[in-house]
Amino acid sequence: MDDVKWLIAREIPHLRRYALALVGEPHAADDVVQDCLERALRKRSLWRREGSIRSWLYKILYNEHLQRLRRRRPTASLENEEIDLPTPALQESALHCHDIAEALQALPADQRAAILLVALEGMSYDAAAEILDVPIGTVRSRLSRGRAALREAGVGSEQEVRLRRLK
Amino acid sequence: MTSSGDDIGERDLLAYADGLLDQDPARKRAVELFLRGRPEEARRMRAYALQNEAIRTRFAGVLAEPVPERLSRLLDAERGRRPLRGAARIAASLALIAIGVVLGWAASESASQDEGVFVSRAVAGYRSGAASHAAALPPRENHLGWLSQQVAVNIDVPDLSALGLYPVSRSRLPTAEGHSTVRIEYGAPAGRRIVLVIGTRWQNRVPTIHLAREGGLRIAHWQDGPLSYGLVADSDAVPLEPVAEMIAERQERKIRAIGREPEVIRDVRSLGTPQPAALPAVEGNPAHDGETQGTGTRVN
Repeated sequence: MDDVKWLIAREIPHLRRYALALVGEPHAADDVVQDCLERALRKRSLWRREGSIRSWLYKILYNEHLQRLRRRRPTASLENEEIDLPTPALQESALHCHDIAEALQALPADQRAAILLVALEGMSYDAAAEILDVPIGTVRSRLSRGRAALREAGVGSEQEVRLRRLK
Repeated sequence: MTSSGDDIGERDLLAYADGLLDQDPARKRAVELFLRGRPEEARRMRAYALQNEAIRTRFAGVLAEPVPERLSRLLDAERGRRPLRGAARIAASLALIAIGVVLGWAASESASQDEGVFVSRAVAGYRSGAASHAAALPPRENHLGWLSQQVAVNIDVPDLSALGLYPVSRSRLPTAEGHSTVRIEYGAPAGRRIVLVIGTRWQNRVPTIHLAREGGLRIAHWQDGPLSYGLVADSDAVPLEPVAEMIAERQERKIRAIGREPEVIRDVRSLGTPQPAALPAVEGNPAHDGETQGTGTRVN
């Protein structure tokens, strides 16, 4: 295995984690990771070694995810298609959401993508901006709006985190 | 670097909540000072930091999981056939017909060679699932996303700048015999000139449908552009040809109508139960709009 393939292989668990949080369903998430890896392997000569391979792979993953969403149906609710979520109900009544994964899926895809890059991967805003291919200001506003929505849904309360730790 | 409270904006607060100010102790202290007098904001930032922690905890398990074989094998053996992800999910409420669409990405040009190979794969696809008596799939499951992605091609003008060649013109050549072609001319400082022509390999025309038998099954199979189709039934009483023609005809129409939304099966049950009277005639032209699908159903 050449060294680039080895570097890519190392990233697979991180990619799978991000994809699961982003896509919401394990099999579909692994589909996106598979698409990402296939594309990355085809184009690995294009990876310029000054950047981190992780960022490069995340950019490909995110684009594969977007393409997948576009191909299904161009409506606002399309990112929730994999899971049968009562999305309008969640947004309207601001139910207290016990499962953060559900709350994340209720967010628009671009807000979710931004939050996950920062929360899961600890990325700086400019690294996230590079991956999402938007200006830093846009990343910040997506983070703001997404976090406010998550807060509305009751995610991130002290009690919740304590309970989670007990499990 | 200043510790004045006036300078602290939303961007600093967010960065603080996300732990991005850990390398900047002066600014971090300034934010903490700022928040001391503002309990609402402090609560908000604490909530955001907790969101991060909740997200990390929720998804931590995935990192520890062993990498599924379907992913790790991509890095072991790149060349050759792409791994198939399983048969496509089109199920009809017709208990007698199983429609199996299997992607054949063989590079072989020989039609008869492909035919023989594909019949076996269609039969294998048929056998890989038990007969389903379920209700029709909901409409949202009608788009074959991953299959479409396998065959969709996004082509850019090849970048030859490393060789000192730059594209100077691109034009579409007239479509001939159902082939689409693009012409790209590259020029170079030294006066070299080279032309790249890229065209579709498959013709845009209605394919020939072949019939075969294998292991007590009847198979109608054909190739259409990058895809192979195999329609499999277990009984002579089922008229395969009209169903095959309907699929082939629709596929051809979709390829021509570039830019329009793909048509979707709205109600699979409206394809009808296999009674000869209900299906379109075999001889002559396949059914056109309005003749058999009064409810406006089409095959994607």
